[in-house]
Amino acid sequence: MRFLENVRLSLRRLRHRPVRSFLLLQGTIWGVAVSLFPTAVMEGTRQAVTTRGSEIGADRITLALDPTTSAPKPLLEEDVEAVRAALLAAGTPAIALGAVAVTRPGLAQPESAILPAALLVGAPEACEARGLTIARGRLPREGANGPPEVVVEGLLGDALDATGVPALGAALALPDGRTGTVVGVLATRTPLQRRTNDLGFDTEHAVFRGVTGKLLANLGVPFGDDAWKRTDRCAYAAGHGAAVDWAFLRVAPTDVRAAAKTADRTLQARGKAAVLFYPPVYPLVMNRELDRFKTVSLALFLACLVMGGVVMANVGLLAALRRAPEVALHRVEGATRSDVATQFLAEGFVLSVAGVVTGWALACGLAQVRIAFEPMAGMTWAFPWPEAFVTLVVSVVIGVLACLLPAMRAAAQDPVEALADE
Amino acid sequence: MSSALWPHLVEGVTHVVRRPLRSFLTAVTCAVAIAVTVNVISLNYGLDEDIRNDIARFGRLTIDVGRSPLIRPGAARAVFGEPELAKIRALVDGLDAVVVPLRSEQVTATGDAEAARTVLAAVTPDYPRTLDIDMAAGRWFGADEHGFSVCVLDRSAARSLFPGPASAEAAWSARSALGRRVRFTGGEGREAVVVGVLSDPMTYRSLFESFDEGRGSRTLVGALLSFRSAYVPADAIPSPDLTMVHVKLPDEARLETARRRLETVWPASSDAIRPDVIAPVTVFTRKTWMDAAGNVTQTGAFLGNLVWILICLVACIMISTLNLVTIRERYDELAVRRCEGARKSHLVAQVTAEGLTISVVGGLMGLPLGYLGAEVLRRIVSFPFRFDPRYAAVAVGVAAFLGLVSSVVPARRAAGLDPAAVLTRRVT
Repeated sequence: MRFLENVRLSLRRLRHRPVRSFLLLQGTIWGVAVSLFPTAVMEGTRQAVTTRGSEIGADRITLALDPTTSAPKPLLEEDVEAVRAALLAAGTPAIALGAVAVTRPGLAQPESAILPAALLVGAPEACEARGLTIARGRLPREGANGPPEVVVEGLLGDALDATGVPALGAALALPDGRTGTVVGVLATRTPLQRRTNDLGFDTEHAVFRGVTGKLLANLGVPFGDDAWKRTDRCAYAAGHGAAVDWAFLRVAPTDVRAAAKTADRTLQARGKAAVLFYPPVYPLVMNRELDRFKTVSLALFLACLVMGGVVMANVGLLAALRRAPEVALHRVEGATRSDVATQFLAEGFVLSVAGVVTGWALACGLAQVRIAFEPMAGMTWAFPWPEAFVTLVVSVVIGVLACLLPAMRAAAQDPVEALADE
Repeated sequence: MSSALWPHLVEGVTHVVRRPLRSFLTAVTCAVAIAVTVNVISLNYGLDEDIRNDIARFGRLTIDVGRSPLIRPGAARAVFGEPELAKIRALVDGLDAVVVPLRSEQVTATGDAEAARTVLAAVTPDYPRTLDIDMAAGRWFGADEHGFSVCVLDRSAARSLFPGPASAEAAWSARSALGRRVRFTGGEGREAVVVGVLSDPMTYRSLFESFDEGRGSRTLVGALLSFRSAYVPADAIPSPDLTMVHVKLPDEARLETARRRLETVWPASSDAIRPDVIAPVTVFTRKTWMDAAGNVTQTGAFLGNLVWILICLVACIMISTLNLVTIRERYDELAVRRCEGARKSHLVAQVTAEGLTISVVGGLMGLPLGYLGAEVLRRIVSFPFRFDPRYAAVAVGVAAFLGLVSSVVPARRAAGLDPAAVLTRRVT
């Protein structure tokens, strides 16, 4: 009861000098914030990869032939099948794997007609490998009599519907000059998904356009003439060709790194120089090795907290001096030395809790700002409860310890002397 | 300095000693802020400087002409072979240029261990001149050596292929790879003896590679810059198709001339992501790339400064508030000094001298603390901290600034009070 009374008294003091208390709590506030916000981003992204991996593209790998090598050997369907077998043998099986040859519309083709941004001919599994799902109809079948069967992406399906004729069953002029029949429409992707490239970056994000994209180019990462991938207006037809332009692979998000290595080795062994694209940030974030870098946040947290604790001790020492008459009166009224000490310690407790709670709010704000500057489309943040609890405990312990010396000084004062001085 | 001011400054410094515990605690706050400052500056600028030095060794006076790294399905592959090489030689004629054609493949190399994604580069004996790197061991191959008779390895490739016993990992020497045989995938008889090992220009390779998730997405040309290559004589890969042609110029003036001449035939490679304007063959001037990369690391270092600036700002706010609180108990003393004839500026100087003394002492305490902290972090996270006396000087300067800023406001407030009001207890 006595403790609660002291807490109430401390809260009253905090309300009495809110600005000064806020300024003195800067160490705790920033210490908690700088230690929590990187963890919030890391844990939020880990959760997103685990629970929404397919939605954010954390489970996809795209393969193409290296455009800079001397005398390259073409990428064939059998190479892709060899990758499938190798993945299975390595214990990281493909959820879906499809290779396609891409035909883009020619310049002579009429712009007014509803024309797919690209025709992808290959295994229908490529749709699933790209993370696309059927919304209406079915996937195309190969070898059917008559015009080729095609499945169209969401926005192209919408455009066909807008002509007044239902997309399903409609005849569609294809970039290779043929006319196909639409047998399926894929679900429309979200605007963010449509802006995301094979490396997982939002291609319209200012940071990607200004910094990240240039950095990747400087590191020797090729860029593809692949804007069609982000139109949501492509058509897929089943078929087999000699060479393939792109291969799309989907594996469990936690297997991406290992699967990419297996695919790379398999293609190299077959004499093919390939480049493999997957969002590099997700495996990096999932890498537990990264946890040791939390030490840096921890060091900053402790540095801030030590500063905050020392300032609290300093102010406490002064308060013990200034409040000597008040303490003496308490003593005369019957308060024991331990009551006086508890009052000072309770103030340290209340100040620390106030600092930590403000620090949590600041950490959430910083995490939000960090995400706003992040061009990686699937990065997000989540409040890290376990770490937040640790910051609370550590801050309160340091805050109370900081008030120990002033509490002992205040408790040791002789009430008679203090009142006589006054 | 006026003689009237001097006693006030001395009084300010003396006051620090008179309140040892409180002064010590304030100095500790300052010391922690300076320890963080020393750490962050050492990391930031050490890294920035090292990366710039590394980049500078990639051959600043070299121009690369080759296919642009653009994946364009369905488009015809750009022709780049002997006629283009002849054209390049003609364009740089009279500039004392060294022209080195390069053919490369991506292979798996096998020595004592296997190294996937090794770049096998077939080059002429002039190739080392396109870089600014020394041999770590052995020699480069000569004009009289042909085919897969000999090879030179990049240091990191040599280390991967011939790692030696795990117990002697720290003592690995490039010399241990000399005379050993390496097999390359891609055909029969592709086996060569290592005659030389090229130094690694990358200071932080192990740190970089442990988090390099993008390796698989780099082209062969990009992989060349990661220095995990094996070099063989030019005729080892007899393809008429070239990967790239390196042109090394003797100085910046002739580099500029060569760049202009080459760009009349092929456009400069652009770092803008514009597939619609990228030509199939482009001219890549390393100097331009180095300057751009240097700017990126400089921006990174600048952003890194925000950490210590934030910590110092927090320390400054707290010390200022602390000073505002503690100065109240000295209103009487300062009022008496005013009555004795001290001017406001004298009192400001006295309080500021006190704050300055504490912060500089705190700053000096913070230097060894920062060093100790860096040692601990270095062991845990393998961060490449680099200390420099200049950074220590900057940190002490920051400490002094911290002391000045955090004491001026309380000092001015105290000096501005009416001594009569203070002494008659109308101000407390």
